[in-house]
Amino acid sequence: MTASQDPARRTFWPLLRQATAYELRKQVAFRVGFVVRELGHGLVEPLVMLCVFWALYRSAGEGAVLRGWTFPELVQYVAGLLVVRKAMFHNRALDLSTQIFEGRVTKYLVMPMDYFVLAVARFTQYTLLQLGIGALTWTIGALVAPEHWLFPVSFGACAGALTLLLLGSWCCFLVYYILNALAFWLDVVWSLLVMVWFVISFAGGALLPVSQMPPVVFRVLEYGFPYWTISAPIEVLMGRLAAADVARGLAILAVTAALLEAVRRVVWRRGLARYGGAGM
Amino acid sequence: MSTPFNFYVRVARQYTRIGWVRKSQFRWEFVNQVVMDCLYYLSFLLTFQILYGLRDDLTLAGWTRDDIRVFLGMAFVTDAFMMTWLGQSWHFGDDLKAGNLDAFRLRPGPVWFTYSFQRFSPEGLTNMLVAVGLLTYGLVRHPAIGAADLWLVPLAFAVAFTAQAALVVLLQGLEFWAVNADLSRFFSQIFTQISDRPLDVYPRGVKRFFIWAVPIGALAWFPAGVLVGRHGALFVLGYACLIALFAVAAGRLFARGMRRYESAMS
Amino acid sequence: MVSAPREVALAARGVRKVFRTYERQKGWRGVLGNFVRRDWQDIVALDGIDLAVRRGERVGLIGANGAGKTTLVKVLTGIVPATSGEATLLGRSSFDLGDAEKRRLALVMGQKSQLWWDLPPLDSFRLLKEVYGIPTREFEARVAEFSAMLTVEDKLGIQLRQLSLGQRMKMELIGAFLHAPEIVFLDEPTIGLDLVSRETIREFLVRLGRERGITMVLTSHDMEDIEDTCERLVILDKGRVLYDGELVELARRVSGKRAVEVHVAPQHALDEARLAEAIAAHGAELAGRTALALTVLVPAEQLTPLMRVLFEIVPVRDLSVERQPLELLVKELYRGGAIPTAAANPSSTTFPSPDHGPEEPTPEEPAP
Repeated sequence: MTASQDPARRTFWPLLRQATAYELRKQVAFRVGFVVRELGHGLVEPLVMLCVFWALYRSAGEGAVLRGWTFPELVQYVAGLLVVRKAMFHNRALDLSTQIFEGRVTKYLVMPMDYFVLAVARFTQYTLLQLGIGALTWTIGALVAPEHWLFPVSFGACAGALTLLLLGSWCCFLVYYILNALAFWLDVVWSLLVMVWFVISFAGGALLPVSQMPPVVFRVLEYGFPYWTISAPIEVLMGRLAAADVARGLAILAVTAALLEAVRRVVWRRGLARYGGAGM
Repeated sequence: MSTPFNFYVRVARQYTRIGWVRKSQFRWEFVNQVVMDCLYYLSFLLTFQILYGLRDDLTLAGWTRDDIRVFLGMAFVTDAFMMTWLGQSWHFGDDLKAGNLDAFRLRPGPVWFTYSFQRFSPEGLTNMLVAVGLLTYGLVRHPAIGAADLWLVPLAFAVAFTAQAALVVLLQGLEFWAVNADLSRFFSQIFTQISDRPLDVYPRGVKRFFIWAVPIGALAWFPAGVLVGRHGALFVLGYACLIALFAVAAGRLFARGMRRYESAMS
Repeated sequence: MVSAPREVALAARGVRKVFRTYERQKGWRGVLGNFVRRDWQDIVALDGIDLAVRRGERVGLIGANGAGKTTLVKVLTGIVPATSGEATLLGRSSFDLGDAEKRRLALVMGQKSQLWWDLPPLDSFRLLKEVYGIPTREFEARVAEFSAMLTVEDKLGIQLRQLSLGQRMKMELIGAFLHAPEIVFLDEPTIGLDLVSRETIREFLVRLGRERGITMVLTSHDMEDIEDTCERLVILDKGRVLYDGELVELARRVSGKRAVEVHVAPQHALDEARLAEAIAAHGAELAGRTALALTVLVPAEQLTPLMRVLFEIVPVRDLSVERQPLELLVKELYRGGAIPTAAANPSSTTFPSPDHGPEEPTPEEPAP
């Protein structure tokens, strides 16, 4: 069946637009909730990390370099982390497992559409909103503390970092989607999602730069998508990684995304075969 | 007339029994959550191991590697207490919106207790054992802590657990003024992130705020400091009293907040 | 000999309950506008309710959707506070009940479970045993007795979420009566249940209510629930009391009318004008109409003349005649029909304030 003949494929983009607009409207329905969930999320941990490094470098002495990082560079890293963590897809935007447990997926299965478009709408809405909030955060930081803040070394670095971030965020989204879809088999899924978040944030450099970890650890982690989603884009903006590294990162992310997409399709198809439609 | 003490004991015993009954039906969830928390502990231990490994002479605002082991053990124990007894608090925002506090309003006993403590978690208890093990390891390895200091451990636990319960009740109370905002979940996460590092790493104003105004310092910083001998006797006594007052204030705020409860109309 | 009036168990005096909400504007401009500025509105759920229920009374509380029944129950039980006015239960302000009062009170909600969803009911009952401090022997006896009455003895060990709706409701009732409450509120306990389950539950309530003198307030959309269980009826409409009186009194109002249901042959067209004229001429009214049947309410003395005319106009296939169901009268009332005034009823006159004791009994009247 060609794209023009298949109703699901024909409606994908219009439905994606509609669903994204609807999801965005939902986010602004509750004011305090919006501030708490969307603006506040992901702001505190990088600042906590900064305080820890400040205490550490104070004990190390003025101008100390610890495994290739000075304190001013770490401040810039944290500034980058504030933006990157915002934009990177987080599972709180996806409640697929709950929908499966409660049988709310059922009504979509009889419609001439691909259910995946609704999840993609969540991703799109989340990314658009959080990129905007990230940009606002960056602007405020640049105005308040320009001498410490992270300014991209070039427009090219900006483009490279953004591409890595978006592709990496897409990989995170696919991972969360697959884990959520395990709800077709398991009674409980949320603990798996939390575990994956721990792994992604540690392996990606949300607690400390990956390149500051012991060399043997770094050599392993630099082949994983978390590093190219969190740590690497920041280092690209700082000029610590070059264009060749960006290309390598994009290749790793592209291969990861392709593999995850294949897994996603298999898991969804198999899961639907088991689906009991509970709650119909 | 206030609720008698044996009410709390009887109900807590039943909640414990029910927690075990529940978990016997969801064994996969039990294993999952134990593994999840162990990963959480591991990520922290690894992070601090890497940080202190950057150079041999590093400290964190005066906290040595030996001190941090005790600190992390204490932070994990408090977190495990939260998981064991106060897991229902994660659902408070949703329950408030859905009007699920009705039954607790009707029954004898304070709502803050009958609601918040209902989800006893055997996996939390298991993690408590792991956390106590890590704390014990930290205490044993610490050069300045001896057997004579062990009497401080129950005091440290008492202050930490009281503060944790009071904080949960306070955050739930705040949620009555901003339904749909998920305030308790949001602030709970933030306070955990902040209190999982020694307060001495933060700027002075921030440190003072989290010691005196919103005493999350009582979750790990204060009890760990007591164990490693960082605090004087007067401060220890005074702070313990402050935590008790804080607990009373949190309960009052919650009771006030119940007046705003609208209950979803069926 | 006139018996002393019973103590007032619960009362509402001038109770108002107002909820604040805002109207969500449409479109993107509206959504962003809502973010910045909101037009708050007050929704008046209860508008000056005066009510008193004495010990042992069984009161039916009915009203259209949105009339305020559930809100009133929640104010009286202290789940939510009244915006203004006074609601008392057992002599204390409803919102400030102590543990002692709560042990004498129960609420069953047909649309909201109070037991633990993922536990067998027996485990929930054991928890309630500790919460209410029920002695073990009494607890076991009541569980056995109530589960036998409701025919769910073999379901006590099955997870609540795996039970049918009827079974779940029965478990909710057992849980509510375990601690031998003196006052029980039931908010649509039979909603969504099959006929047999409803019957069983009604019998359970009637039996316990009569044997143990329990004060009951029952809300329901099913008039049979009310007629079988209650002796007094309160009708709410838009947050106000529309009617408050004995059910017997209301039933007397309808005894003078008959409801005639006429089944017609569908293929024959009706002379509508003649039909309407005949109905009006006999002081009757058309109470219901479908493609296959008409229901006509007629004064009893006009029944025979009207039937003669109907047989001439309407191709009758089948016919039934019964006293006007209470349901049809209540429908009339919802539509703004005439009602007996509440002042004519002795039930709702006195309102004790919190902390005052029960009323002084009136002196006995001399025998005729």
